[in-house]
Amino acid sequence: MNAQFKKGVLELIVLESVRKRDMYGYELVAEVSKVVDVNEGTIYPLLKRLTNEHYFETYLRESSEGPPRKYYHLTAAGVLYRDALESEWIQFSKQVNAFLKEHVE
Amino acid sequence: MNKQEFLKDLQSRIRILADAEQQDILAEYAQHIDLRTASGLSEEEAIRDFGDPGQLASEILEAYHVDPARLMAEPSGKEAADMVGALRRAGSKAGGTLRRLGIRIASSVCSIGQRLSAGVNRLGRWTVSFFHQCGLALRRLFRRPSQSESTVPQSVKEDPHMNVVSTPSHRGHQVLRAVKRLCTGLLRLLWNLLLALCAVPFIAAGMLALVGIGLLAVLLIQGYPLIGILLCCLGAVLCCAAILGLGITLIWHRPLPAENPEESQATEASPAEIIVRTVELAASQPEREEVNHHA
Repeated sequence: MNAQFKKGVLELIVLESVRKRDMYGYELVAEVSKVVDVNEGTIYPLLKRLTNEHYFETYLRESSEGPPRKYYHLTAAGVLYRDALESEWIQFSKQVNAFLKEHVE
Repeated sequence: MNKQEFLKDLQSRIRILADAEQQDILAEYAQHIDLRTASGLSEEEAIRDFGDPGQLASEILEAYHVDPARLMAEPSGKEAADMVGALRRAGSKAGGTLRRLGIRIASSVCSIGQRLSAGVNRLGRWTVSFFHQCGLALRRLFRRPSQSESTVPQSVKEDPHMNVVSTPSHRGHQVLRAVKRLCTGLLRLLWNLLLALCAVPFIAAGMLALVGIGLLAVLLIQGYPLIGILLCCLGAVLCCAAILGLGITLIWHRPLPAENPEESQATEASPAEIIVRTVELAASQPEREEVNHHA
């Protein structure tokens, strides 16, 4: 898949994943990898940026194996941002699809 | 590249961030690698999945709105720290020189101001003395004939008619002096009126600034950030006050207040005395005539 495509949608996928339930980094990478084949290196900086912009809150929780894990939680601002991104995505994909269909016919 | 090398490399690239943030990021990556290796991958494979460390670091820095391209130009954090230190030292040095320069400029401005004020003072004194000399010369010019005339009647003081005859010249002298006084009075009035006219806008501006200060003080107490405008108003008031003070010093009271009263009294006294004398003489004439008749 085109890297530019991925980069644009990755934010939406990450926000949506965390909206369903709080996740820690590794778990989130695995979840996102199910949807798009993504380089791990790009997800952690993205999480950092979304946290710095207050769309995510983080907290530490003990795990049965190894050190405590940092969990990501979607804030109210994050939910609003996710909804905005979703509607943008829907409109965008609709337009692109309509354009493509027009040309096929 | 194993885990430790990777983490060290990454840390050297994100050294610009705060220590706590660095530790947070590194812990997360270390945990990710640990979990990867637990699921059966080697450290190298896990690290390879992160891609290019430079790319990774630049993406992390972008999350903090740090321009990675600029930091990439600097090879290591230590050098950056050294550069920061050098810049700070240079800044403090520049500040010191600037401060010294400022002090020098201020002192030179002060000395220039002092010299200027001394010069203006000297000029003012010179003008005052010049006008005083002019006034004295004029007075002498007018007094000389009167003195020469007044000596004549004194020598023939016994004759009342001669004394009465000499009064017209005294009157002319008096008229001249009155005209002169009127002229100077008019000039003085005009000059002071001009000053007052000039002062009116400054007084108005000062009043406005004062009202502004009052309003701003109230607003400031209410929590508006208006301290700058308040200071500006205060400056305007001070400026207006200074200009008005200058105007007050320029008001023309009397050319020389220390010497003038005595002289003016003397000059004013003499015509009055003359009038009194003439009146007395005029009153004594009938008596003398009566005495002559009796005789």
